[in-house]
Amino acid sequence: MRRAKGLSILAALVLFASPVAASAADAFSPDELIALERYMDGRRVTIQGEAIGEDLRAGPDYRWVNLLGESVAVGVYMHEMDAGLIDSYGSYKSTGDIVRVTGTLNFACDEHGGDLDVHAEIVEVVEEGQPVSRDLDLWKLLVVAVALAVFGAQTLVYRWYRARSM
Amino acid sequence: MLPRMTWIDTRIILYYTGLFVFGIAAAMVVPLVTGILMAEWNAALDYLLGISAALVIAGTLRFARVENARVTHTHALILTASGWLAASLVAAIPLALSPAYVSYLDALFDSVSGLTTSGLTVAKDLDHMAHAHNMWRHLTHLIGGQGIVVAAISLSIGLRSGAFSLYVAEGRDERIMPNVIHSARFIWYVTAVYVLLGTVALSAVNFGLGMEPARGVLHAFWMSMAAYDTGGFAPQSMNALYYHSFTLEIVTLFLMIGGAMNFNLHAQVWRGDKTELWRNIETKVLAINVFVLSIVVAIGLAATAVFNEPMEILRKGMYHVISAHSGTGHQTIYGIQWFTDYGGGAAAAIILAMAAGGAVSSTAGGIKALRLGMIVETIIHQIKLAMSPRTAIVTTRFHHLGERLLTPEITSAAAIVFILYVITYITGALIGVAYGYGAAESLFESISATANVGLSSGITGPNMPTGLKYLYMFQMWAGRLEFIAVFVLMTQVLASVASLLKGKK
Amino acid sequence: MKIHRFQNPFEHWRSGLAAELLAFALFMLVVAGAVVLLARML
Repeated sequence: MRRAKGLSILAALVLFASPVAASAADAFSPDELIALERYMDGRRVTIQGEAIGEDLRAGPDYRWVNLLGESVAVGVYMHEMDAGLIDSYGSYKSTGDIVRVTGTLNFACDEHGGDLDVHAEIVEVVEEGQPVSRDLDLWKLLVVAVALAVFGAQTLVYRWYRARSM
Repeated sequence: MLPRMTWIDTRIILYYTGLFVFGIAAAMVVPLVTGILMAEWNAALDYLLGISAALVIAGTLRFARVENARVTHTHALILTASGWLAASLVAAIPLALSPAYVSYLDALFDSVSGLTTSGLTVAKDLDHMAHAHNMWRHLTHLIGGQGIVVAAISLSIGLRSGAFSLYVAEGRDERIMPNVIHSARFIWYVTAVYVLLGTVALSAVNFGLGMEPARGVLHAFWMSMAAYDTGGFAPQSMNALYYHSFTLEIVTLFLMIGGAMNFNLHAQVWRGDKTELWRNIETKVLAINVFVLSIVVAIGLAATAVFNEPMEILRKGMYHVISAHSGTGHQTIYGIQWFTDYGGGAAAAIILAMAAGGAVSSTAGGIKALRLGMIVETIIHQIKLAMSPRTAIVTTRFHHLGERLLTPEITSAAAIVFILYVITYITGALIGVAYGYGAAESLFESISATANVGLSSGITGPNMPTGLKYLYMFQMWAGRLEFIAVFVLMTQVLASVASLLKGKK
Repeated sequence: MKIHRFQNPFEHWRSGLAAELLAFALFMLVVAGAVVLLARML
């Protein structure tokens, strides 16, 4: 399971170069992964998803990287050298790298307190994340201006109304 | 015949509802500032729009003001129900503008869930949500957990006579200090202490995990609010599992237990009476329940093929028992695992824990420990009665901030609320079944919504049927206010409509 | 110590808080101990 980091990078390079392995069809999305039949526990699987948030320290030399599919994210336990391959993590301001991981699936990892996780052997980035540019919605500014004007007018009328009824 | 609402009554309620909306507008400044500091301009703009919309609504309701109005007990009940509705509707505005929610309904679902400290979420893409929106979602836990009304009272918005009725209508049993305003402020003080401690501890955990400073502190603040206010939202879709950290789980456990305690208990202990911690009927009930259910879950998990190692049983068992019992809803497994990997026995125990709930006058939901304790005492009392001679006078006492006598009034009040919760749990489950979901999942989700827990068996999500979204929103709202205020509002609205129709003939 | 019903709750808040946290910790240790013991036996 825990291989030399050099080997996994080499393997990643080899796989990256081969067109067969790079097709997405043979990889599970995180959504599919958590719903797999339970006999898959402890087997070798390939999973592909968007790296989100950040990599989190998981003891010496190891990192957690959470990969997001359609609506489910799954934690991947990987060597920090592998985690170093990932440049972009999904957030409000960017999409994360699409990462493909081959490793051991644990429905309840004995080593990690029963977390559902994948212990990575091979990690590769298949698509780089991009910054997300969000144009300012100008109509919202307009609504704000109108609403504040209405509120100002209301306040003036209210003051006058109160002063009169006192 | 019910006393009909007059125009003056309606105006009083509208006016104070408007004040709550003002409060929500003021609270939205926090996410606005967050958005500006994090350079999330579009998200910040959503809050600017939210604030200005809330100001217009509140500014309109302000015209309903009645001079020298007396807020009666009935006003207070209706106002509580309507104030919560209005606050939810307004709090949903900025969320609806964010790309993470498909519709206004979905945004409303999350604002109701947040304010009632439930924690069920239908956000589509939490992992790409702006920090500003996450700040607001978690802040709704803080506002709703202590109570919208408590928040208003502590700012002493000039309710005068009605303040105490309002305080009780929101599910606080009795005042901590003679003055309701001081009681409300004490609630905020306890909260501030716990949330601050939690934020410091979790920040340290997050730095240890290697998170960026700003993000680490924000996540720590949010998780502290969610755990202490027994809410259950989290900034990432994986909830507490995102961090893969045992230390984080331990810190949140402390916060959840603290949040499930009665504010009167905090006050009594902070006055120096530490014996109340183990003499109080509520802490006894909670301790026994959590202990027994943890054992049941452990036995259940040991029988499964998946979670059968001691460490797994501890981390996946005890964590969820406390999360469920305190009504928090932080989750470290996936929804579908409840009925596949977690096993029937353990899942059943979690359902019981959710249904029971925390202490009264806390941020927790559910039937609550005081009522369960009283019902048990009543059963014991009945047995004692049956066994003693007919002429004997049998009395039963229990300890809750002092020795108290078990009276028929106390018993029936506890029993009625108990029955209302159970009926709502079952009705919600049956409606879930009618929509085609499994019986176990439906019961799980229905109880989770009504008891303001937030654990999910996977039914809740952006693609769930619209009818179920309305159902769970109603369950969360009615469960948080413990039904009575909601019934009074509905009765008054129906009575007013009926009298209007009569008047037309 | 005689505690009055409406005595100022801020008086001993530090020791009160410490007592609460200690009680929670003890309680969790007891439950965790029982659970782990049971898990090892099963």
